[in-house]
Amino acid sequence: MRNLLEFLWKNQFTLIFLLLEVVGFFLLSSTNSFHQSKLYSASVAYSGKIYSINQAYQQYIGLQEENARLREENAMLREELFTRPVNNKLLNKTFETIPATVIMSTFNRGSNFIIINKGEQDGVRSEMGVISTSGIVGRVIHVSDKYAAIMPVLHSQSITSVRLKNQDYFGRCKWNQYDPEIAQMLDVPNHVVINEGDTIVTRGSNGLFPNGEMVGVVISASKDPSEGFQEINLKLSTNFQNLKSVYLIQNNFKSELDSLENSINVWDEK
Amino acid sequence: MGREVIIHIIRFILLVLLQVLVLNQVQFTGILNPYLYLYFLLVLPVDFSPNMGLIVGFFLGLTIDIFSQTLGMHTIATVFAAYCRPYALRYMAPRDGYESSRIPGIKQMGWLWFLTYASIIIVFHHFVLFFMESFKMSGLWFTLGKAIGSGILTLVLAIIAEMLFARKAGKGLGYE
Repeated sequence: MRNLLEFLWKNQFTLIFLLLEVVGFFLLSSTNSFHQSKLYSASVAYSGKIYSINQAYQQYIGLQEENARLREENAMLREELFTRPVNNKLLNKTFETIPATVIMSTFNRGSNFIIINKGEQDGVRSEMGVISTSGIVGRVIHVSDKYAAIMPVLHSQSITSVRLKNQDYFGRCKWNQYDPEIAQMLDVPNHVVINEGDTIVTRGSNGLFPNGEMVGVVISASKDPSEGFQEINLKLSTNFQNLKSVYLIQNNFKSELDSLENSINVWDEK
Repeated sequence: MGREVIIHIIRFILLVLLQVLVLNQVQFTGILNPYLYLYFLLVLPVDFSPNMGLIVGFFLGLTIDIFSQTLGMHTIATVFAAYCRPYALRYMAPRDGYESSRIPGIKQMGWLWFLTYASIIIVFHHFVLFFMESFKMSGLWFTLGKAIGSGILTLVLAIIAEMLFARKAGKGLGYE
């Protein structure tokens, strides 16, 4: 016993080191697997406050450019409003949007994130889809009262269900962590003919996004005979490097869709 | 003593704010990112208790993590850097010990000494950090390249900070 205590005392430096590293790994693993962890929400709440102060100063810099973009979008929407007959009432009811402003974002890491200035108070819930005027952005993973954290497509764990616009082959969109402008589409069989410039859109299978939201454009596709699937690189249509306004998508029937999916999973396990 | 602690706390806050509000936003060539907050750990006094160093490193990493939404990553890397620090100091010790100065800075210890010392700690920190980030062995060379590139940026910034803010030898912290 005495020897043990002596040993511990002698190696206290290494022991403290190991203890703190274990805490670190615990933090890392707990936040990676449990998206709802309270710790994470608290961290969003505090960092959100500081970032929104910072953003108040920064927003003036990009104001003109942002204004122009919004005006452009306004015009486009108005045009659509006039030309489109009122025939998709169901779609309008299924999806509602909440506009939000990005107050903090990264794009140069293996796992990036975005913080927006809307939170639980404004009706934001976790697992909502997020789009910008040019394409999809990601999904909400943590919500605090006034802020929310988004896992963008540029995240090692982000998987989006996508399809080719002109053919109905579908696959998963992932990001290989190399280039913030280029993502990969997986699970497309070799026999599908894919051309450079083909458009990739969301499939809308899990209720996160409506069907047909813009994702990107194919820049290269190569067949891999050993795998049976093609390697497709696509240029993301959303520019994550100057993202400012985003829209959160609220799917009014998502809980219905989820419970249906869950019942299938339960059935599968049996 | 009191003054020294206050200066350390102010430096801590300034470096964290600089890191999360400026450096994390400014991206050189898209994938490289300097982590200047490590400078706080670099210039802790030589006789700062190693155990306290670990705890300070833990909270430094945790603070950066909270602001970068990467809970755990910076904590693990910074604690590791704090673990390496006493060994680096012992390895780099002058023949007659650290009597002439308590601050491991350029002005006290010289250019070559500081470059070697800072490089050792920055390299260990960045390697751990970037491996935690990618968390896989594929793309090993990409990760290594990223770590080295970012490490060089961190080193350059640390030298600039050293030249701007370090006091002259003999007037440094802890001489009261």
